[in-house]
Amino acid sequence: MSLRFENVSLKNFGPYRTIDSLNLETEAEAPIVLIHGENTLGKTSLFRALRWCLYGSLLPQQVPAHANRELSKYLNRPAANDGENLMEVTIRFIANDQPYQLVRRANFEGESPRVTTDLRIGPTVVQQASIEAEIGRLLHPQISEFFLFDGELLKDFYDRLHTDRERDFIRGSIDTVLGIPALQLAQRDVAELAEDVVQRQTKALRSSSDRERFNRQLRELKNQQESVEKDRQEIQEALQSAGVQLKRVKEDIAAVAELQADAREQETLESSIEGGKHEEAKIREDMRRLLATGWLAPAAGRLREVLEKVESQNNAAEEKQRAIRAAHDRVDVLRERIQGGVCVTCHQKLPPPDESTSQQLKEAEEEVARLGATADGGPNLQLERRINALIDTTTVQRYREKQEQLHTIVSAQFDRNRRLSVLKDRLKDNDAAKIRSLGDEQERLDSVIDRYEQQLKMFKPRLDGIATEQQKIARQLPRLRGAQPALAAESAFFEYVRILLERTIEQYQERTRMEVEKAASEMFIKLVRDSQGYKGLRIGRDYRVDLVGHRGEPVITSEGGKQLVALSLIGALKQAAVRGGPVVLDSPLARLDLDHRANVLQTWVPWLGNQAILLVQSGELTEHQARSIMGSRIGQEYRIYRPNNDPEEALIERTQ
Amino acid sequence: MVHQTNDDSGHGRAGALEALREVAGERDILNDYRTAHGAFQAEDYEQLISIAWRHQFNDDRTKFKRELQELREHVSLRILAKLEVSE
Repeated sequence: MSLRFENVSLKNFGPYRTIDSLNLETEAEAPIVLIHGENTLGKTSLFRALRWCLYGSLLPQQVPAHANRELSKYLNRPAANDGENLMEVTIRFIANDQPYQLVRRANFEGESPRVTTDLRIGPTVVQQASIEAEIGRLLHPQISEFFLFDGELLKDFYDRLHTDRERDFIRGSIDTVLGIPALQLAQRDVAELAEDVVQRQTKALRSSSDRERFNRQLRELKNQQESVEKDRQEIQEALQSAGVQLKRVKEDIAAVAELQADAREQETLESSIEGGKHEEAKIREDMRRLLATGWLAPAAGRLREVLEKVESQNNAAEEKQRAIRAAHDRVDVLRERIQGGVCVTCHQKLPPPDESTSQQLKEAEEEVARLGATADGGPNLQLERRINALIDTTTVQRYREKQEQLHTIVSAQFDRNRRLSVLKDRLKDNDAAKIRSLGDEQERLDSVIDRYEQQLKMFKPRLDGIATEQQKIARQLPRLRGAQPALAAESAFFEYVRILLERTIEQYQERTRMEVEKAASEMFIKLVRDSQGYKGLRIGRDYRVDLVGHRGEPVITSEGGKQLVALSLIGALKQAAVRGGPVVLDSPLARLDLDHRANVLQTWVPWLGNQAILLVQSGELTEHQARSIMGSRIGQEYRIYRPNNDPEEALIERTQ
Repeated sequence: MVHQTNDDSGHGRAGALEALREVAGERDILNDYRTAHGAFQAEDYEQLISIAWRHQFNDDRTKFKRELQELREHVSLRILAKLEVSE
């Protein structure tokens, strides 16, 4: 089997007014279709359009009836404003070498949308009642999580794997794809037929005591069986009812999902505003303290002027004292010279005086007298120090910094309050308590469903025990007098078929589990940077997934590791479930670090098969990076853009 | 290797038939159901899976039971013959 998308056309879906035949064809050497688009441009709308066209649902595990209630949100707004009321998605694909065309339309003329589907295989129109079964036969909706994968879910996928419900879902999906329900139904019918033969054989017995004994045993077994079946039926019904309630609650939660985000933002804002108030008060207090302790700060300018004057006076006084000292030294030297002595500073013999020496001494003494007369004391250094101490050089700077901080916080508080006001308007009729109660209700229903599912599992061993007893009787009967050979042959047939079906189901499930485990392990080892420390993944019979080290011990992994485990398992499940089919991934790389992105593109994507459609934004993969990593393996490449800067309008253009 | 699951006749049929044949060849099955096993021919296993797949989406199980009874009639004759021989 091979299934390959050829092209998709959209009319009035999401931001797309018209996409006329977006070519998705790929070849073995170039199996990748890349669609680039920044956030909010319309990648997810395109992704949901494909899911809606195939299954009538917009989200994983959503039933079409629930999707219909949300459909009006997806009708292109400008088209609706122009009076158009038809939304349509068409997928053309090849399956088993035959051309298929699937069209899903929603007409919004009435109060609720009228959804119609049209499927053609070549020129043959498939009957309405058979369309879902035909699509399910090709790409079963229960396995859509493994080939229509929303990368946003990657973060939680690993944790979901560790819940009973999710494991049951995965196992159930795989079972469905493998056709296990066909075998289980057959097994149930064969058991009924076998029981019927046993009853007929019992009636044929000659000995009335044998007849009575076996009839009694069969009646007892029948009663036990009916009692167990009745209990199981009741729990099954309660489980279904809880499932319906849970779906409703989830829808309500989805409806208030934005409000939940608003409520969370409101709580954060209120806390930030409270923190901001404290911060503002503290800054104002610091400023008050600076004003109290630094009251002279404003006089710093005047004090600096005075200081400059005092410094200048002190410098002049020091200069004059140095001149007086120099004049005194000259007088001393001249006197020593006249007396034939030595220099008072260098202690060397002075030259003998000449006729001008006495005159020079006289002039020097006059200079000393003149300088002494004009001197008015030494520099006042104490005054200079006191003025310096009065000048506050830090308070003004610190005050300015505080002023800036105050300005920033006041401005942030203003923005926060304005945003809070907007949020409060939006949340007016949906208080946080009401939103929280929905979450509580979901939790309660989840727990109820888990309990019912556990109870249902308890019935199997009881029913198996009854079946074993019935088989024992079936084997004893042919040996008794009066037993009919034809009935014995009939019984042998049904008992044989019954055991074959029972073992086949176990064998088939187990083999598939081992294949998924092997494929997922190989994929993980290729994806992880340091593969030395790991043996691979271990998938239990209950589909519990563990990462195991070399000695087979469970290993705890990082967030990045969890994502690689999830990618490996999705890849392996996709291989097991939709071998040969396409895979569409919305933002698959967004949560991976840079190193792993290239590795995933080079290793993981090629494992996915002959057609991988990747919807990416530049933050996870730019056009340039895509080409350098995948090169010629890219078969088609497109870019989503907004032609008129209008968020309700998007177009797709080919880039390669 | 993971078995082809989307074949012409629906998900998993080929894999199920292969598993059924493997189970039919297991030693304890041969020992415990010798007569029935000996009466089954290769196409009977195919027929069994084919009927199961054909009616897997039918809520009304009478058609499945009727077709299975048809298969049983053929095989039962062979079982009966073997039972008579063994007696």
